Amino acid sequence: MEGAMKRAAGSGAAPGRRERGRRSSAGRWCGALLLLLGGAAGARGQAAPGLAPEGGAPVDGAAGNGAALSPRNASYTIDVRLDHASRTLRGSQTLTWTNLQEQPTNQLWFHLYWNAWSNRQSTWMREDRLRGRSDRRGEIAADDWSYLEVDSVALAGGADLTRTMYFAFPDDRNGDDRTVMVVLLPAAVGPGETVRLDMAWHAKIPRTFARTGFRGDSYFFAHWFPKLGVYEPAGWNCHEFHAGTEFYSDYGVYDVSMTVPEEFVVGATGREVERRANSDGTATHRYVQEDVHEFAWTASPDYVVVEDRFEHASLPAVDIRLLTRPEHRHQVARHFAATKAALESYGTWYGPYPYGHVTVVDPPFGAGFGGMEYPTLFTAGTRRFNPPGGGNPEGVTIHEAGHQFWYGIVGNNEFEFAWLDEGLNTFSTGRTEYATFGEPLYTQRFFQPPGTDTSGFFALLLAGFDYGGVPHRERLGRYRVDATSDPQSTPSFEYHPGTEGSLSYSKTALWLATLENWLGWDALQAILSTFFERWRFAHPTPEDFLAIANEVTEADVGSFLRSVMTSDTFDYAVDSVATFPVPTEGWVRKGDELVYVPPRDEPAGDGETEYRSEVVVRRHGGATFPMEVLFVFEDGHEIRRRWPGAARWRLLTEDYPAKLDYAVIDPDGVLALDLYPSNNSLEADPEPGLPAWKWAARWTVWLEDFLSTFAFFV
Amino acid sequence: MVLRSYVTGIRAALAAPKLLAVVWLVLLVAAAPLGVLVQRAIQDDIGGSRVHVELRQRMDMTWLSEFQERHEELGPSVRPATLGRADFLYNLDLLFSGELFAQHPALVAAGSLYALVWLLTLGGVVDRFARGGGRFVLSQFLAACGRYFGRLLRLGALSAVLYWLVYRLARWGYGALEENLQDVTIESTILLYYLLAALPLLVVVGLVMMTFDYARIASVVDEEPNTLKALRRGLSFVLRRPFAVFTLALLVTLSVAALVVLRTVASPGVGESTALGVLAVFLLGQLFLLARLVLRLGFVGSELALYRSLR
Repeated sequence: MEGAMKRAAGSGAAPGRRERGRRSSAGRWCGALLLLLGGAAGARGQAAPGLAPEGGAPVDGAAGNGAALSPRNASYTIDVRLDHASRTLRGSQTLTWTNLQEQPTNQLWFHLYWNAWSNRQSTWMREDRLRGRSDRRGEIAADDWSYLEVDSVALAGGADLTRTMYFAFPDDRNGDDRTVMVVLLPAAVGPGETVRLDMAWHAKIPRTFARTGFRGDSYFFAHWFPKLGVYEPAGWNCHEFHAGTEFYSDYGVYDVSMTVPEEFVVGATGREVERRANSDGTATHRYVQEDVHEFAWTASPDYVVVEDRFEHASLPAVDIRLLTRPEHRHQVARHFAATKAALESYGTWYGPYPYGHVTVVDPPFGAGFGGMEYPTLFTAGTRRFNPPGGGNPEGVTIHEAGHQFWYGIVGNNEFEFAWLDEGLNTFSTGRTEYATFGEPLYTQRFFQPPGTDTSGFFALLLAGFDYGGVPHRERLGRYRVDATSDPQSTPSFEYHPGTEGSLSYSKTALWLATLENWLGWDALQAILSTFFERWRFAHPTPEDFLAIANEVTEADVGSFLRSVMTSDTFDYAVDSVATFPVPTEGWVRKGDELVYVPPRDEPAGDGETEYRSEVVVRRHGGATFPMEVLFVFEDGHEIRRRWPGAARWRLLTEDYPAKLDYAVIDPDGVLALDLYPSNNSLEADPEPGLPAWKWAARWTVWLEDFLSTFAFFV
Repeated sequence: MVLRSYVTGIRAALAAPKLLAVVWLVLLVAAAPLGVLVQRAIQDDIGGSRVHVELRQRMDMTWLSEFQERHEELGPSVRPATLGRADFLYNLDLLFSGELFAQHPALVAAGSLYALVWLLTLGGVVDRFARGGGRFVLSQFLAACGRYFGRLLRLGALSAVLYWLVYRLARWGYGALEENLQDVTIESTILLYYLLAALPLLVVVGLVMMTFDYARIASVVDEEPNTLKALRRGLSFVLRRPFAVFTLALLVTLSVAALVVLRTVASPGVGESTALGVLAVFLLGQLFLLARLVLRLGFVGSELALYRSLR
């Protein structure tokens, strides 16, 4: 295999995100020739060998009426066999790809994701060391690594291209990384033209490093075959596999036949259209799905299959197929309730779910497959003891179901703009979860044996430890940890390892919450639903989202959105408050006379304005946001003042007959991104510290018990 | 005999209210200064912020995350697990999981300091029970504490070393077990294995604990100042009477477990918002602690009774 691979001069030479498409002079001539031939044939792409009719064979659209919902420019027909004994896959596939761009290309760039775990030198493994988050730690047994080897590539019915393959390293020049492979074509594929490639490959299945692999008899296969990158106006967008990012690919039709031991239950993207028992003790399951950009599947003899159906007056029905574990039967209803909540909420807020079916996978314990999304299939994850009310598995189920919309239907580039799906989905998840199930109770887990990685087996729910019923508030602490890390506009794969959760998920959810608080839900929904509608089955960029936000709303959101794309933070505070009798001493003109008024300690008591209240507000963060400041007086009267929030500080003054009780900046909590909400208010005369005594007293009881327990052994 | 010893020990503990009071006061005095420090830290952190309104009714987790960030030394211990009904369970889990040693060095130091104080007190407790009660005279009690502290300290140090070895063994054992179970996909099965693995661990811990418990008793009751001889007496007693020894230990353990369950189930919510309510919750907590001390002293008394009747 290595003999067939060579490094092309200049491949991955330019640091950056993608290969800027280069055309050799031979390529230009070939392209011109093909255009001539294509023109003579009267149809694009028909004349040259290896070029297939655009779009391949007609199939039913996801909507069931034959209409394609997506460009379907990257379609796969795959045959794969799972060898359970050797933990390997052997596959062959036909890729049908249509060039949607205006420039030709004589290259095809592929992801070979599983090579990220072939050794410790890959980009993924190097980055994972920095963040320490993989499911694999310490020693890795020989049999646990993985690889994906392409055995042959050829034009369908044409030239063998195996010897043209080479590895590329477009992101970090890591010459040891093998997750990006390039195939050179004998002739360029022109705009609108289609090429078909036959590929044969084999792979070693990993013991899960992240998302995919095996545990015991259970398998989950994600990004498991040679997967084409995306050809864009600037060239091929095909990143190395990074530890902190996910995926990006074009839409197409997937027709996949999976041969597995006959006792295995299979779940996959799409619907099963055929099942065939083989004479060797295996069974072949054929699944087909149109208008998706990924195909994932799972197989295990342990799954219990339960089915349900989502029905709604104004949304298409969806068949829900749950593959769960025997010990989680008591949580079946919870999985269905959460999935339906997501389908209803996202469907009514953004747009209907078009596929008609979805598979929910409850992964095996400790397998590392959980909490991940794939088109028409997602993995949730729960524990044997997860009491209702604690938010699990509801939260993760809603989130991954929600990804069918953000990522599945709106197919952003997760390498570069992960926040476009993770952030929008995190925001939507919080909204759905709180509206449907309420704020989850705090869960404390117990019994984690020493030296093990699993969190406690038993759970106790604790009431009274919450975020006040405010969705997304729990994200603030997570965001704050990395608030001054990379600007959000940084391509996601370049985030400092381990910060992607804070920035893509939490920060985005918080600024979307701010938009909702500021503009109102109707306005935000209009932005999101317009974005969803316009970019269904396409690949939007942040600029596309920002453009829609500016277009749809009357408010000037541009400045705010530009702020959140930086690493500037928001932190407003009430710095000081003072309230005192209006100072009247000094020389005062009364009529024609200049009269000296001496200082006084008490108000005159004449019922007129007598107290002056001064509030100093400050901006500690680098970003700005228009603020409201609330004055609350001892008689209950309230005054609201506006402050543009651009200056570093401002003195606000009110004269009123009563003393100031307290002042609050951003009293309605509009700015969800404010890093430290506790400094947003200040009392003129703080009360004695009963709360401090309360919590300290509880803590003291705990400490006494701890000391008793510790000394129990002596 | 075992049951009689158990009852004798509990009765002895209940019949010594002044002793109980001393032991409880020592515990309170050991914890109170740190409690005041926490109170000051919380008060300073709240300052004049209106967040105190929320904190009267519930724990505002937004504020708590800020507090933990601003107080790195206190943050790990000021958390829902230590402020609500999970507190007693959490302490057991801290020890069992090893998180205590890995993440809470300040707590280990505090616990060790208190263990020294407890050892100091223990001599007086055993001596008083051995004398059969009678009028409690503080000076006599303190004299006995001082008299036996040296030998109990040496035994305590040795037991700490052994416990440390047992903990390392447990850590290694569970790590190896986890490695071997990496292809088991059923959580309940894994849990069962872990629980079964806890049994020999409990036996080992129990053996160490019982040996040193009876060694301590022997060092006081038999006036044995030599550490190794006392240890030999303790081990000899345990090996000669394993059923009695472990049955008694089991009885006490179940009593403590029942108390922990009661604490977890019956603990009030966190909504106390008046001074009276705060005081009531605090006193309820002290009641549970007192009950624990009764069981702890009762355990000492019952072991003494068993030792005397069966040695």
